[in-house]
Amino acid sequence: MMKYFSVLMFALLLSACSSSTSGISIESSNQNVVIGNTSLANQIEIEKAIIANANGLMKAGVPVTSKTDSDMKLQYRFYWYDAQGLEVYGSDSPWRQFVLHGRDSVTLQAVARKPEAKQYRIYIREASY
Amino acid sequence: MKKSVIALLGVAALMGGCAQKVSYGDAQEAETTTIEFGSTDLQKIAEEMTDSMLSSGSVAYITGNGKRPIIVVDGIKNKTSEHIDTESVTDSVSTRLLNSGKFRFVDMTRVEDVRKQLNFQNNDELVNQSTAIQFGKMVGAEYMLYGNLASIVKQAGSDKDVYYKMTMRLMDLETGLVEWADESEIRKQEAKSLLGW
Repeated sequence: MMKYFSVLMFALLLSACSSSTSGISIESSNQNVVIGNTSLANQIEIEKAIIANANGLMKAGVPVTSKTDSDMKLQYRFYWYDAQGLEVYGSDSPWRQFVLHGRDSVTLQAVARKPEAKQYRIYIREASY
Repeated sequence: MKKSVIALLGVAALMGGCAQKVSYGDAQEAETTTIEFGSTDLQKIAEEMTDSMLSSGSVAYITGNGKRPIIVVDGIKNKTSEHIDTESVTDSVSTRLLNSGKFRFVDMTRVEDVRKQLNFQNNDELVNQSTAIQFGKMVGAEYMLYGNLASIVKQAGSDKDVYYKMTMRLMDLETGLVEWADESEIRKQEAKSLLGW
């Protein structure tokens, strides 16, 4: 009896320490949605990647809708690419935090920092805190 | 038999768990070590301020037709009770704005070094005077970028809530008019629980 209990506690301890950092991404060039985390894909919906122009720089907008009733703490990050598909400013873009309330819809927006950026990709995942 | 197995397991756990290690992390990761102002807050403020400035209509007006206005960064007043290096925030903002190609900057923090260098070039016998840079040719700034960082801290028992508000403004030095202003808000919460999860 004690053996099973200790094994259970050990397993519980280990699982509480690990967290998934995979998420969902969508690209602006072909509206390709890549689902890396199926449980997250069941809780939020991202349909399209909008491209707009802000004073000559590319402006990105991605509407995200929650399919659950409770608050979700999420992070997102933009990767910018030029016309050839090379990263323009990607590795420097920090993870931004946002809270998605139950059944709410938020548009994640960013402005490209260099005029060479012509396409973008957004990666959304759950926050690890 | 049982006691020796437990002892062995205990020793293995101790030896495996005590090794101190240093590792490299992701500089863009969200950092939640303490509730004080952190790298993630700095990055968020720099990104939001730059995004807002680049998309604003009044900035589009002053940067239209390929004009690149010259900005001097005055600094951000730290009105919080923490020690925050606000110059790193303005450095981030000015670097991003400069890389967008829409603005030019003058740096007030290096004026004395420039003066020393120009004095050396113009007055020292070692320098070839035909290559020396003349005094009086530096370009004056047209706009000033400045801001305030304030915080509201609330604590009730072991729950702590900190709210930061950063306000930035772009002022035309000739007319004194504020062309652009925006604010960025951050909320951080700390809850200490008894059991640890």
